[in-house]
Amino acid sequence: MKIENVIYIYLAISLSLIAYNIVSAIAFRYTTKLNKEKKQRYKDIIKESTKLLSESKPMKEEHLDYLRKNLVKVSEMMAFDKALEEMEDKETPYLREMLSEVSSIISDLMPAYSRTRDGERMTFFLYELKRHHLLENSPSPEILDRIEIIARRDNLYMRENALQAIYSSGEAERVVRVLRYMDRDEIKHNGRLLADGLVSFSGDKDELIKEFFIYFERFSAPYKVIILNYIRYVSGDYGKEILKILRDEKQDSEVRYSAIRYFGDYYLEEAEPLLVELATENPNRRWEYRAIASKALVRYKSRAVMEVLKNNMSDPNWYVRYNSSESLAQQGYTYANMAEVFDSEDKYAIEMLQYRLDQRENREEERL
Amino acid sequence: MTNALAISIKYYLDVINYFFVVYLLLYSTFLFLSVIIGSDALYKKKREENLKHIFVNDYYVPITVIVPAFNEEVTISDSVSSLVNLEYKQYEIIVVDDGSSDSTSAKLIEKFNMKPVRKPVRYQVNCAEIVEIYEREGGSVPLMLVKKKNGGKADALNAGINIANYPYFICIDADSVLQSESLAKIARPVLEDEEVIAVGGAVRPSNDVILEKGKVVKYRLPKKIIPSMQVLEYDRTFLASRILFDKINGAMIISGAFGLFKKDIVIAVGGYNRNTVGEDMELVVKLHEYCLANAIPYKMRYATDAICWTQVPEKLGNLIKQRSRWHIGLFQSLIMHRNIFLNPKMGVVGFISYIYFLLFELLSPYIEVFGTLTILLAYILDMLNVRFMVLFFLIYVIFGSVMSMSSFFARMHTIDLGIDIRSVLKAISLCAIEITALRFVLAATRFLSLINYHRSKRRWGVIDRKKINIS
Repeated sequence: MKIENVIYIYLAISLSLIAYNIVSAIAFRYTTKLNKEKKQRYKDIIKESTKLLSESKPMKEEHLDYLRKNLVKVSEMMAFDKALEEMEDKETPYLREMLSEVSSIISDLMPAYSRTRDGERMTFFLYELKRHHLLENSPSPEILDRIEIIARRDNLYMRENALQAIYSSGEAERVVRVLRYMDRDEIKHNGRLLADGLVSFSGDKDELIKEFFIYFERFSAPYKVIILNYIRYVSGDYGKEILKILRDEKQDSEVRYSAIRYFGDYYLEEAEPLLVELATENPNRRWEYRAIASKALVRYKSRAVMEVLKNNMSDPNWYVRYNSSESLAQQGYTYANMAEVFDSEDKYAIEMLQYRLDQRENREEERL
Repeated sequence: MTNALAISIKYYLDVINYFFVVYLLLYSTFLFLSVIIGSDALYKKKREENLKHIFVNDYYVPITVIVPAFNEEVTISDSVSSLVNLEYKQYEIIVVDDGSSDSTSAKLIEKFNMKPVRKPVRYQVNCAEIVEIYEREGGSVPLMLVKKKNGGKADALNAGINIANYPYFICIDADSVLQSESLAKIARPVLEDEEVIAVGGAVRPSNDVILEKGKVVKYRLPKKIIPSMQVLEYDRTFLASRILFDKINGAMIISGAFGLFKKDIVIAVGGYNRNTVGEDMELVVKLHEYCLANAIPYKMRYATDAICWTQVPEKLGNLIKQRSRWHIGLFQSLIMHRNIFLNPKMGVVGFISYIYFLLFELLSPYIEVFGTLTILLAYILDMLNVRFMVLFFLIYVIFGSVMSMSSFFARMHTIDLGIDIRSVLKAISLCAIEITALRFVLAATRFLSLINYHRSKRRWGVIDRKKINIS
């Protein structure tokens, strides 16, 4: 090939790209304008519908038909979503009631969104269901069954949005079943997303927790940690059950750490001796037990606790010293109580405790 | 000229000719692919956002924001003020004053009512002695100021790592401003995939941009020509070497202006290297080496929508200092980790990324200068096809300009920033000048930078600062 031909190829590429940029810019402007018009149409429907609902009248059937016919298209659903967002920002009254009526058309929309292979559309649809609480009024079991299957798919956001939709259904049994399947199939889903996401469960939390305990031993260690973290976020009523898990030395270490953390948030008298024991140096046990138990002991004020935390100030592990000093300071001990530590030659212990007590003093000064 | 000599020279020129054809074909193909793939990635990201491939809930991982500062009294208060108001659930800010001779620390202490504390420091990575630590009491976001002996940016970052409480940290320049949702966006890849150990953010020139409460209120191209051209350059470069390499997990650089890292793995590799001025690139290369050598599954990502606004030099002198430093940093990183080159254990990084940075970044100014001299020689010997050269040069300018404009438009269409028609026309008119004049100046700068290497290898230089436009 002649060199000049290469140059002409590059010229052709450049001209094509210039044409592409011009066409894109025009298309961008055009779609922006079109989307604005669509959004306005939906805002008009929402305004009229909420007005009717405020007069205790139902939504117009023609509006529901319009939504049923058009919301099967993603671009229309996007416009509807934007319209809803703007109306929510303006705190439009009776919006919730309107969405309650709109939820009756979900089963008509579902097939259209299930169709594509990559699940983009379904991800979006599930997001809308959750975002606008469209599943909170006796959702059809068929729809939820379908969403349950989607929750086990590969696409992270599709899975996450499906889970969110299931949480919003309020069905404890279904939530637990989905997580069991995900665990069984070893589906990688960030533990934090799962534990934090469960907090948005809209049903009876105690029912969900009881359901989790029924199947607890059938979950793998990572999922047990997620369950315990979730319980810690939402309820302090399960100390006895979690103490049983903590006492079980056959449990995975991460599970027991999670159980220890529970007692750092919620006080249980019976847990104290075990926490003190776990906070005590033991060459056959990982340092994490000492560190996490030292932090959890913040809620347990007694002589035995004070002694173990003081001893831990000389621990070779940074985190053990750090957490022990934090607990001691938060329990209100003074310099006089900690004389033993300050009189020792352990520079690291003194430094750590000094910092905590100074911090506490600064906070108290700030409060005054 | 004797016949033999003429034949030799012709042969030499033919070889050079073929070398440059191949070199330029490779480079322009790479540029073309990167702009196409980069633009596609941006449009895809925008579509995903529109289709709500986002988290419904406010998920987060706790993050430490480390701000190394040296003589930043002009910008530090504004920068930290913007940082304390980010929309993110759990983060802390550590400003590290690296032995400033101005009132950087005094300004912060006064503004945020900070008090000295005797906080113990766990020196997990090397850094110069920490002299004092201040904490702010109250406020929703913990804020610390660390005063230390001067040791350079890498050293300051290491000090921040030693103090950090959270499992992830971001490094951000003291003259940079984050958008209110930038932390959430840079953290998202970590939530999507637990193997992600580093995430690069998108750095954009902030000159003449007005920010209010973490949102861009007015966006336009900078008034001055030099920063305007850098806007085009940044858009093209981020599409080129960031997004494209992100696709193949071959990123060799995460900008020191805005990058998120997993703390324990950075500590495992010894933190930032204090003996280089390109500490950001050096760290990323080290992370690749460490993870591959230890068979640790890992990913590095680029968050195209996590935006950090940073001041770029407005004067040519400052720009030259900056680019000279970058080139020295690049040289140091590539030399320090030369064992990566064509090393099968290093995978994509050794076979693609390293070669790209070696040939098209490090050696390119020398290759270009050599090419220019060869053209001169050919002209003197009346062996130059002048018509071809002129055509070639025109195509080079057109092709390069079109790449810049495509990157610029891809950016504009995919971020929610309105831009006025004046800025668009200005961008179009500047792209040819950026591709020719500015590129020539920067090539010369990079050519000369290594000559002065031994003198400047550990110096940052002083760059004039302007107040940031935030309210």
